Amino acid sequence: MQGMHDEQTGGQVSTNPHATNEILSLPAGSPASLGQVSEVAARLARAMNSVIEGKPDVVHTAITVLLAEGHLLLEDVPGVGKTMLAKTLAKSIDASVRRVQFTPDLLPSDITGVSVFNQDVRDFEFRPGAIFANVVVGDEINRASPKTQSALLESMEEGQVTVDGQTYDLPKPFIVMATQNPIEMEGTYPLPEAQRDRFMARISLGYPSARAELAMLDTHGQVSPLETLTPVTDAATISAMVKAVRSVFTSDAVKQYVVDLSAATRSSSALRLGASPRATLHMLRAARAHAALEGRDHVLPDDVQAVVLPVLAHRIIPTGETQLARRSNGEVLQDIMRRVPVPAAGR
Amino acid sequence: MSRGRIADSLLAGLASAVVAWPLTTLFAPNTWIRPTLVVIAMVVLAGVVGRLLTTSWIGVAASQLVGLVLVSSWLYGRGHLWHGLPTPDMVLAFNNLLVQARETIQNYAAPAPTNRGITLAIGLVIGVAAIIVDHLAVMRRSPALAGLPLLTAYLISASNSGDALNPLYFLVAAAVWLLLLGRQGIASLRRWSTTVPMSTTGRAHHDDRDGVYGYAAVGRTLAIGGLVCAVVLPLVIPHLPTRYLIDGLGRSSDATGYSDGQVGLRTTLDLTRSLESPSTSPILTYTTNAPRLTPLRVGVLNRYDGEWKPDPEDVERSRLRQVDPPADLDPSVPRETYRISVDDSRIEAPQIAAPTPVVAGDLGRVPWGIDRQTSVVSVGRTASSYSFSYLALSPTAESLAQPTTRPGGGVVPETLQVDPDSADRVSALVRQVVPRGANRIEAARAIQQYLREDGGFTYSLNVPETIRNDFGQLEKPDPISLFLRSKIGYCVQFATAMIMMSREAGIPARMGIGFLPGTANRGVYTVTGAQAHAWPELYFEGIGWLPFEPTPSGQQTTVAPPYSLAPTGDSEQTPEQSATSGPTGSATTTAANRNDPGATSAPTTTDTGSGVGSWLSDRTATIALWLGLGLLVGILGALAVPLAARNRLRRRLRHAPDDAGRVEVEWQSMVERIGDLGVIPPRGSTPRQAGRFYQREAYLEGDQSTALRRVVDGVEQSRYMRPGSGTVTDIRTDTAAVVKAVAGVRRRKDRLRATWWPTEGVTEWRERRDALTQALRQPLDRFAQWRESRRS
Repeated sequence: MQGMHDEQTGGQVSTNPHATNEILSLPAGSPASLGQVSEVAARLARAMNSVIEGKPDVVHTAITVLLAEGHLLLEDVPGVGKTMLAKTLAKSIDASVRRVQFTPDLLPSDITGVSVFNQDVRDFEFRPGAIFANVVVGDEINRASPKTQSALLESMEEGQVTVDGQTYDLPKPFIVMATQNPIEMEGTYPLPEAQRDRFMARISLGYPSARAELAMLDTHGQVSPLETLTPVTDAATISAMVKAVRSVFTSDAVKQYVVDLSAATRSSSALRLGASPRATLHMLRAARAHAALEGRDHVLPDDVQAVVLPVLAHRIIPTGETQLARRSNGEVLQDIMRRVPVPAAGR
Repeated sequence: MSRGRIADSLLAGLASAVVAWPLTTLFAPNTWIRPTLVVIAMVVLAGVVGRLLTTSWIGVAASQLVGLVLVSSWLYGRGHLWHGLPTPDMVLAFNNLLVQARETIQNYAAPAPTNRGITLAIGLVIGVAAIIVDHLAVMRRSPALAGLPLLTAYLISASNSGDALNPLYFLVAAAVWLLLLGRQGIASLRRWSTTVPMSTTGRAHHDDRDGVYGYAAVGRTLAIGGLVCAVVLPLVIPHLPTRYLIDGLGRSSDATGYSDGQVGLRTTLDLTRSLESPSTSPILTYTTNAPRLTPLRVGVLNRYDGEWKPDPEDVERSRLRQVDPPADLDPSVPRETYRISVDDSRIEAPQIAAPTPVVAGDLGRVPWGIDRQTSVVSVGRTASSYSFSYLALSPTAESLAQPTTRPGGGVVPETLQVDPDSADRVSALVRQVVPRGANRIEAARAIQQYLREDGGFTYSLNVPETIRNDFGQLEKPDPISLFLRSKIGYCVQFATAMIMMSREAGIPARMGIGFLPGTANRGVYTVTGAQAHAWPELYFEGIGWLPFEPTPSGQQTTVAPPYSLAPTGDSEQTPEQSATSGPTGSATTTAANRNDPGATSAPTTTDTGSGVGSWLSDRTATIALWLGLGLLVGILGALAVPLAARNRLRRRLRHAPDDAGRVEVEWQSMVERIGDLGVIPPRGSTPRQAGRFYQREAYLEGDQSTALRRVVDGVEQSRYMRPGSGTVTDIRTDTAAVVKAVAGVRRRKDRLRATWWPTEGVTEWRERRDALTQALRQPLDRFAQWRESRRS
């Protein structure tokens, strides 16, 4: 298991004497009410914003993906706080968290786990890999070999791990937050399109504003805010919230809108590859979560529009002309949103 | 029972009373008013009591009928009561009274005397009308429908008075009716609870597609249609003559002195009287084989002393077949014998309409004879069908050129008697008009020409009673002087003037009265009361009395006989020539064109007696009419698109399957209307984004902003919420408020475009056009298919 930092932060840390925030816990199994969803989400966002300064949108998207049962791809230049974001989210939730530092020699079994022979019981015993946690932070995912990447991505998609013919369920909730660095290409294996498609959303943090950076110098100068951060909620609550999000109503009009948007990316002359059906599904789920975060029990086209960029931007491939024209994927998507009419009810 | 029903009942009763008011113009004295009011009061009381006791309309109507019968018995059936209750012989008494009423109505012109029969009839008619009005307006709560019986009752007066009713009668009745309508409308509105939102009544809209919107749309369409008809129809339809609901009543004045289905001509003619709207009911119909039509003479008047007076009769009547031609008719005068067969004559004995001179007649068993003095045909009994043969004389110019001052034999001296009151003026005029040394026919022609064309006379049924003299003072001279000075009159004045002038010139002259030849319809001529006429007859020795025609064409076309016109050289009138033209088509006009070019160009301008034809001939009026029509077409055209937009919205609202659908329609309509104002959100905007866009573009704030938010919320709820999870609100007023607010900040140009050229209206018309094209194309396609199949 070399190269893998197994860092367990969650589990039993439910009572922290320094906790400024009391953990808001909901009974597991029953869906949370929408009021509770937005309240918990607001506390989560507050906690994360105290660490990641000046990026409330990014934090919001991360929470949206968490509640939509998706996985998050953080893609940006080094040092803007990708890992920090992932760790902040992980630490805000009182849940099992594992962090995997991807390196070229990381093996698939390091991710999934391995069956070892136990002398005492004279049988093979499964040792769960890094993926067996509620929150998995995969750092520098593009540094691992494609084989290892595939292992991670397959378990991400299926929510389970199969080792030696034996299937093991992953815990719920389950979110993978992978970071990757698009600049440093030497010795990396960039994720192929098919695998990027597995991530519900991609976030680029971007550089902080001058003021946020200044404030960062002040706070990070003394002690890392991450260290004083205490969980504000627990895994069961997140599960309940996820259930609540699933119950958010989606009218035919909104479904039609989502489909129309996907279709528009496929037929767009600016794009070589449009959104996949999985993208459509992800878009709708993210929109549901977005609606729930606003305390609404139904999805509006506005919710869909809010998630289009993070959900679709990493999946579409622009044509050569678009690239030559220096139009970003985001611009192309904005264009498409302006063009596609919002379907009315009953149409 | 609520107080409102009592007030409604009282109002309905008042309406019934008000429509009875114009009956005061038909009957005198007005002793019928009080009993009628009592009857109405009884109906109202019985209605209120009935409604207190029962809710069934039959019960209420029955109580009102009983009340009507009781009160009529008390009022009109005294002496036939048993302890206040009607007895069987009252039926007989009432029947007698009603017969009396009928006879009164038929025999008297308005105002008819009020007798007990009339009082009863009015009481019953108004009482029944009051019951119907009460039933419709109060029981059925449809005061609009109650307008029909009210209008019917009103029309009895309006159509029988023979004259235009004072508009006040109508205005008061209409005001009371509108009051009734308004009260009911307010009551209906109050019954709709204001707290019931649209969503809770949504189900009802499913079953009742027409719903509130539908009725309102139908109502508005009817109102606009009615208004347009009220403006347009009177312009294009000529003024219709007054029709009589009950034959007889109100047939007053001009031609018909008495009634009972029969008519007679007055044998005294008062020149000062104006003619009122003449009757167009037919007097008689006839067929003839004559190519030239002659007036049908009924009587002759010789004596004038301020007004024309009849002569005593001098006639023996028997069942004749053949009569001798006039004794003073020279056998050498060229003549043709023609025949005329009259049907459906309603002229009462002893008068009868006949051409002159009669040589044979077939009146069946009716005795008849010819007056020795006047040669007027008269009958012993009224004859409705008869035929006469008569002579159409075509005297030669030589035979007519007689000296003027030689009264012939057989001419009564009165026929040379000049009216002393106007003698000076008449003789001066004759000296001016008649050339010196003119013979008899020349003098006659000159006088006729003067009155008919040259003198500047105008035909009018309304004759002035006074005239201003040179000093501007009002004078009331004798009728002939008045006519010669005012130059306004109708046939009686023209004929009288010609007679007096002819007598002054030394020609024996008298007044013939009767009817113009009438109008033809497929060979059958119909003479109406309006065609009663008077004309001068001048005496020529060896020929007899020849009719002349000094009256210019007015409402009726008058034709001067050929001998009365100056010969124009080549086209001398001969009987053969006129005989070649058969009695085809409208004989009067053909004859006029051929024989009397002057008749058609006769002055017709100041005919105030209604006909729209003369009104139209007035150039300015024509221009005004076309301008009015153009304006109307312009208004309709300008309204076409906005109205189509409204209709489209209404229709879509009506056809929306549920409340959410209606909200959607309202939203789309609002987006289009604001788009018309030039504020168009990006194509892919969500309702929320569109709302923000409007807010920003139109600077909405305060209530407007709240309204906009409600609209957006409503749309989001109806579109995206789980069905049935919440109430869909009616955003109608809010959309209107938002559109108004946006319009408030836009330029005038945008507002005008949005008002007069709304996209919705344009779409509506486009769709209608497409539907029409489709409908037209379908049969063509089918035909093409059919042909194709035939070919293969």
